[in-house]
Amino acid sequence: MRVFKALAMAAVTTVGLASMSAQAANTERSLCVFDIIGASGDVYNIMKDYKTQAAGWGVDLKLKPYTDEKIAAEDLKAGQCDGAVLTGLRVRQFNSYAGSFEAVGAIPSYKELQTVFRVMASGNASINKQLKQNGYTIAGFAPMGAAYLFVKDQSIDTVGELSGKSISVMEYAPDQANMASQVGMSPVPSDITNFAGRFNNDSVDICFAPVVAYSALELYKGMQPDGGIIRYTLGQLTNQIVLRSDKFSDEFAAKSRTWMLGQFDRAMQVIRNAENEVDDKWWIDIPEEDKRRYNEMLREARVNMTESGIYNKDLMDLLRKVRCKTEPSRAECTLAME
Amino acid sequence: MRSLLSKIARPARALIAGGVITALSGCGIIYKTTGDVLVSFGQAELAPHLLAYDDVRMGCITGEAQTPLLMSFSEVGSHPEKLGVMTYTTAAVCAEQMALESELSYLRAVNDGRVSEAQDARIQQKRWSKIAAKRLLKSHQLMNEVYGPLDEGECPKLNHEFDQIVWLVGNIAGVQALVADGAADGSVGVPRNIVAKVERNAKCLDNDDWWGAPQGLRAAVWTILPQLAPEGAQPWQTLEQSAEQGFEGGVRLGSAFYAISAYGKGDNDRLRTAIRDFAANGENINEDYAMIDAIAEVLVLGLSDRLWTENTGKRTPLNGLGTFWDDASSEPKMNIDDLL
Repeated sequence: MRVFKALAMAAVTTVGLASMSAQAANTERSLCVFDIIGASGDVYNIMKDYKTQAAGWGVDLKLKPYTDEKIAAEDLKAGQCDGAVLTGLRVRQFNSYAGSFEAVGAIPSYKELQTVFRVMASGNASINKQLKQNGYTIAGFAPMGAAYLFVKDQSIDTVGELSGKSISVMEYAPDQANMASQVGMSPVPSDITNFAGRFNNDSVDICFAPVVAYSALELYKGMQPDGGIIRYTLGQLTNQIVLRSDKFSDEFAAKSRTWMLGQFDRAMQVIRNAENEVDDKWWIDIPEEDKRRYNEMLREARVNMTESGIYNKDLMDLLRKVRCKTEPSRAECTLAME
Repeated sequence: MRSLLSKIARPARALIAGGVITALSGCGIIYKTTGDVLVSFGQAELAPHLLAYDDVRMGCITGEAQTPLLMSFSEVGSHPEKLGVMTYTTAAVCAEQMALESELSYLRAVNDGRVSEAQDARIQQKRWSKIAAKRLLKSHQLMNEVYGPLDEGECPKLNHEFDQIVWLVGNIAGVQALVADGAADGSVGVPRNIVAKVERNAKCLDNDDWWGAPQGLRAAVWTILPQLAPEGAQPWQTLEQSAEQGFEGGVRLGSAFYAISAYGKGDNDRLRTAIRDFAANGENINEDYAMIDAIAEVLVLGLSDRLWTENTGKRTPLNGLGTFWDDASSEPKMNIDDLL
C-alpha cells in the first residue's frame, strides 16, 4: 500500500511538473495582423494556423486583427504589438531590404517570387543578417498577388501612350508616384479605400492594383466598355511578418520563415481564384518589343530609386540574379548596373 | 415451338413497352403535379411554419434532410428554387455549427499548448467551413436564378412577403459564403464580387418592413470593405440603428450584424456591448420569424463562445449570454461580522 501511495505521489508530481513546464515554456506574445477584411480574411486565416505552430515553438501568440494597416504599423512601433503582419510597402520603414520586394518590375512571375522566398528562408547567415535590422526581424513572407495596370482604354498599351494620363498611386509608396512621373503620367495620391472608386468613377485613367482587387472592388466597372488589364507584372505584393527582435528568438524567426514558405501554395490558391474570376476579354497582351521596353524602363527606374535610397541595393542585386537565373536572355543579364 | 412462342411474345413485348412508356409519362405528370403541390405547400405552409420555430437544430436538420428531396422536383419541371434558398441556408447552419465546435477545440488546444490537437481541429474546421460555403453559395445562386439576371442597381419584383424573405436570406447567404470560404482557405472559390452585389441588392427591400436588417447588412459590408460605402456613410451608426430596429421588431438580425462586424474588426469593446445588448433584448421575439431570430442568436452565441473559450478554455455558461468571465460581481459586499 505504501509503495502504491509513493508511486501515486510520484505520478502526480511528474504530471504536475510536466504541465507546469508546458505552461512555463509558453511565453505570451501579441501579433497584430493587418487584413483588409479583418478576422474573416485570408491573411488572418493563415495566421490562425501560424498560431498553432507558434505554440509548438513555445510561444502563445495572441492574434489581433487590424483593418487599418497604418495603425497596425504604428502599434508595432509603439510596442503595443510584439509583432505584426504587414504588406511589403509598409515594411519598408522597418527593414529596407524586405521592404524592397515590391520594387517595380523586380519580380516578374510567381516562380521567381517563390525562389526569392526560398532564399529568405534558407537560413543563410548573410540573409539572416539582412532580415534583422534596427530592432525588427522579418519572420516570413506570403504572396498577395501580382500588380497590373488597369486602364480605361485598351489603346493605352505602349509606354508612349501612358504619357499625359492620370493614375492613382498609393500615397505612402513614393516609388509609384516617382515611376508614374517618369513616364509623363500625373500621379493622383490615393489610399486603399479610394483608389478603386476613383478608377470606377472616371476620376483617373489608370490604376495600379493586384488582381485580387478586380472582383472584390469591381474594377471591371471602371474598365467598361473599352478598358483592360495590361498583361505585364509591374510588381509583386507581399505580406510579411515583422517581429520585435527583443521579443522573439532568432530560432523562432527561422522556424517561422520556413513554415511561411510552406504556405506559399495555399496563399497562391486565393490568388488563382481571383485570377480565374477575371474575364479573359480584359487581358491586353502587349508585343514582345514593348515588353522589352517596359523591362528596360523599369530597370532604369529601379536604378534611380536605388540611388536615391528608396530601394535596397543588396536586394536589387539578389533580385536581378534571380531574374537572370530564370530568364538568362533578359537584356539586363549582360549588364551589372543594378 | 420456338416460332409459336416468339409469335406470342412479339405483341406482348410491344404491349409491355407501350405500357411502360404510358406509365412513365403518367409518372412524369404525377411527379410534376406532386412537385408543384409540394412547392406550393412548402411556400404557403411549411416555410412559415418552420420560420415560427425557435429550434435552430430542427431547422438545420430539416435543411440537410429535405433539400435533396425538395430540389429533385426541379428535374420534373417544378420550381423549388425559392424554398431551396431557405433550406440550403438552414442546412449551412448545421455545417457552421460544426465548424464552430472545431474552432473552439482549436482555441482550447492551442491555448494549452497541445499543438497536434489544435492543428487537427483547424483541419476539421476548414472541412466544415468548406461544406458551409458550398451550401451558402448554392443558396445565393438559387436566389439569382429565381430573380435574375438583373442589371446593376435593378431590383426584382418582390411583391410577396415570401419573396422578400427569400431575397433577404439569399443575400445574407452570399456574404456568409465568402466568409466561410475564407475560413476554408478559398477552396470553394466563392466569387469576391458577391459582397458588392449584396450591398446593392439589400436596397431592394423596405428597411422598416424587415426590422432594419437590410440597412444593417449594407453597413456590415461597409465595415468589411469601406470602398463600397457611399460617401458620408456611417457604418457603426447605421448598425446601431439596425440593431435598435431589430429589438423593436423582435428579430435581432441587426444586432447580430453589429456583433459580427465588431468581431471582424477586432473591436472588443463594441463586440461586448453588442453581445450584452443582444442578450438584454430577448423578450419581445416576433413569433412569425422566431427561426431567423434564433439563427441570429446562434451567431452571437458563437462569437461569445469564442471570447469565453479564448479567455477561460470554456464556452459561454448556460444562460450566460451577455455575461463575461471578468464581470465585476453584482452582489453587494456583505459584512458578516454582524452574524458572527
